[in-house]
Amino acid sequence: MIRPADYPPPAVDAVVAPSDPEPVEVDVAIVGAGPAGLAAAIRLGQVAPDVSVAVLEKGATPGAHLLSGAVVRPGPLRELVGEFPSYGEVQGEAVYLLTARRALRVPTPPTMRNEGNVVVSLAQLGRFLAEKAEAGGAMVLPETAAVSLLIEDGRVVGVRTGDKGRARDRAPGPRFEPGSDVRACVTILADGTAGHLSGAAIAHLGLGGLNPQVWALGVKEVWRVAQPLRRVVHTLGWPLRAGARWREFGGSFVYPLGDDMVSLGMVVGLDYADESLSVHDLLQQLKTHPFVRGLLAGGERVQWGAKTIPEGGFLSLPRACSAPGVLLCGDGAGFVNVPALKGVHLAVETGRLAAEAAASGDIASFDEALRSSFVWDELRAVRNMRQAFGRGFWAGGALASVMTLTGGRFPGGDRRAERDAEQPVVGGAPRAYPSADGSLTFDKLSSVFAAGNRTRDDQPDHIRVARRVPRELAEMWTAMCPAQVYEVGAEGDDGHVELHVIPSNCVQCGAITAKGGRLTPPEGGAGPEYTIT
Amino acid sequence: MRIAVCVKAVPSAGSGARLDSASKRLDRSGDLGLSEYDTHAVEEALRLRGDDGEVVVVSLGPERAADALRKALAMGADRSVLVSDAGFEGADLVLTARALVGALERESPELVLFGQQSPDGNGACLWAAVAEKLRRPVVSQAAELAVEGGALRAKRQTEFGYETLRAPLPAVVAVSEAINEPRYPSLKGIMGAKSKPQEVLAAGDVGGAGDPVTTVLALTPPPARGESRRIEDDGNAAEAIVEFLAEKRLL
Ligand SMILES: Cc1cc2nc3c(=O)[nH]c(=O)nc-3n(C[C@H](O)[C@H](O)[C@@H](O)COP(=O)(O)OP(=O)(O)OC[C@H]3O[C@@H](n4cnc5c(N)ncnc54)[C@H](O)[C@@H]3O)c2cc1C
Ligand SMILES: Cc1cc2nc3c(=O)[nH]c(=O)nc-3n(C[C@H](O)[C@H](O)[C@H](O)COP(=O)(O)OP(=O)(O)OC[C@H]3O[C@@H](n4cnc5c(N)ncnc54)[C@H](O)[C@@H]3O)c2cc1C
Ligand code: SF4
Repeated sequence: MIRPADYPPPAVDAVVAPSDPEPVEVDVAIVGAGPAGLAAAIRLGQVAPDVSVAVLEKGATPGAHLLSGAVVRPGPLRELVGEFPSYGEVQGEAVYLLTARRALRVPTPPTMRNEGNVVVSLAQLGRFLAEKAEAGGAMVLPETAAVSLLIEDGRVVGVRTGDKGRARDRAPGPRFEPGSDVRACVTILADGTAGHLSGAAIAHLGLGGLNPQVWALGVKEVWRVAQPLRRVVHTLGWPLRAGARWREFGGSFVYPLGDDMVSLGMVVGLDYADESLSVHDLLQQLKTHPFVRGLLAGGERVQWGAKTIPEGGFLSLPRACSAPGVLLCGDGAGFVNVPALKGVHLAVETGRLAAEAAASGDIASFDEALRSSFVWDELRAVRNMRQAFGRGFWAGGALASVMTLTGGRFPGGDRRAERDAEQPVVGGAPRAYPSADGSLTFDKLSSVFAAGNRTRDDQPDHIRVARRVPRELAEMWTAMCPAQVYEVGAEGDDGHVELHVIPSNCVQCGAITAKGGRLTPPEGGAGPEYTIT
Repeated sequence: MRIAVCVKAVPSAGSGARLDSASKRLDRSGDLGLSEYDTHAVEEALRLRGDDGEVVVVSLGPERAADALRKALAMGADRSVLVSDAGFEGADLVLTARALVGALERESPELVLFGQQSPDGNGACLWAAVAEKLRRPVVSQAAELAVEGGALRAKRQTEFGYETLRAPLPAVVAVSEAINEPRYPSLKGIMGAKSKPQEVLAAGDVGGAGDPVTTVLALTPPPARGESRRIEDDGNAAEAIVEFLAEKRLL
């Protein structure tokens, strides 16, 4: 039995002592310009205009690394910023169960209802929120990766930003630019899913929750289409397999972005077993289904991207989201309502509360504020449905209505208390994915291009992963990675193969962190440049 | 020395910018970034600036181009001048040159640097038009540049080798990508950029806009690539390629 967890990556030390003789000094440092970090920055501008705030973002611009569905609960955002750019309210919705040829409409379960919610492009929303944050006085600093937590006497005193201009072998190149220590009275970690520094803080400060975090991987495309889609569509079933041993939980979403575009994605829990499972290729396969193909008829792909979603829910939340000098919010801490597939409103609300705690001078009040906010009630309410919902949005939300149709073949049940990397790899049943035709279906490399990815080829490798592993595991990682970062190399005498890594393809989705390796932030400014995901 | 650098804010990689068939213009509604070509010109200016010199970046573009200019400020340029006016929308070569010349005349720099070309318009000609209007010498494709005693020496990269030219200042130079490795903005540079002077000029400040003198009549996408064959390397790829070329009578 092969489990990714048995082949751990080389140790990653993301905690250092301050060392910079001339650090950058701010009152509040925020890591990540996503909805959580930007909500925190905006709120600080509102309640503490004299406090100096820096938001560090590894993407080339704010929004460049944001990818979501997204159907959003608008309340917390409206309260914070008033109106915001969106594609309007959801006008209708439908859930379908797919078989290889057919699409059966099933009743929409309560957790999947979306009346009053609005459709957004998170990449666009991020740009808007960044402007708001700057207008409120915050400094939003793109192309800047936070690579380590600065810890002094058990207290977080800021972060260190990454060096730029190192060569592949890490030696400083001709235009080497060293990173800086950013010292802050309060550091707000809002680094999102599989966040490098949230992970480091949880591990180093002993903040782990009841269950370990688990993730799903989402791969999505934005299409310009001929026919407007007037409703929100979710599908489940095909091309995922129903057999219990496959543990394939997921489905697809198709959301309208105005009259001429749709956002289409496939999401699969990363506790899956099949060595040949590739969410990217499942999305390609999904598009060949007559029902989905019909929605895209006459259309053209405009963008592609991938990102993970924390799916552990309430029981995987950190024991505490505050520790001396530091606050955790958004996806980095795991604030996602899994049965509803929604995290944006929770990111905004937890970011706002973190800002208020930082401004109050008593940051430990954050945990209290979380517990008395709607966030806690919302996540706790679905905690008890975890038996059913433990498998995420589709298996959970749709289970109730689908069980009957599938004759109970959809396994519900067991909680994901094990790490994704502890699930054994099952080989021997390779999938047949459609080959790329360049108009409806695409291969991984042309997709990475459609993400606007531009990572310098000769920068140091930022993927931590075991390089000599059983063939099954190398195959699994190769299939899993949506960006074709891994290749299976030659087999050695020990029966293990060499894993080749092409880090410049990486779109920083975070899947490798779930499945036995560790994504660390590459040079600031590297990676995708999403504009409409 | 006072150096002006003309830089363009261009659609960034991910924006999937396309030609809009209705307006026959490039759709610039997405993200704009500083043209990579022009970062070489900024780098060269910073290198040549000296202790009491000044580097000012000059651009014609929409208001949103300000963010792209900030990148040049983060690298170390001292201030920026953006000509932004509805009257310049859809400007062609002549109109763009007129706007830049209007802005440059307010600065009277000793040296005006350009990138070799833009990744979107791809004209590789603007520097010539600007030099013509300013009545200044122009050197393009500069792969090395030095300033000494009121003149510049530039090594020009040509198809047939290098040529070294001397020209009196003030002058206009378009630099090639080979000239240097543009620096990364430091964190302090990025933080400091926001508080540097960033001037926005209207058409009236640069002598007025006007009508473009060229009209785009038609746009046609490039012809589709002909049939292609993919040769997977199973150890015999070289042979297969030779065979293919021979078949096409290309050998
Ligand atoms: C499809 C298409 C067709 C076109 N056809 C014509 C045509 O036939 N005739 C015509 O006159 N125009 C035409 N234009 C417009 C023309 O390209 C631009 O208006 C003109 O400014 C030249 O720009 P360029 O991008 O080609 O610059 P280049 O000459 O390639 O740029 C060289 C350097 O000039 C500087 N620079 C460029 N633009 C700016 C700017 N806005 N601000 C500051 N510095 C700048 C930069 O340093 C750059 O590296 C066309 C544009 C498009 C998109
Ligand atoms: C496919 C998919 C579909 C989804 N659909 C929906 C939906 O329909 N509705 C909904 O409400 N939610 C949805 N979600 C969830 C939602 O997108 C997230 O919950 C939300 O984006 C979390 O916000 P955040 O600010 O915590 O993190 P993120 O949005 O991930 O932002 C984190 C930011 O931090 C930056 N960052 C990370 N590490 C560093 C570092 N070390 N240094 C500097 N910067 C760093 C990142 O580049 C990024 O910009 C979906 C998610 C996915 C993946
Ligand atoms: S290498 Fe990058 S793109 Fe590939 S799975 Fe890992 S994080 Fe995702």
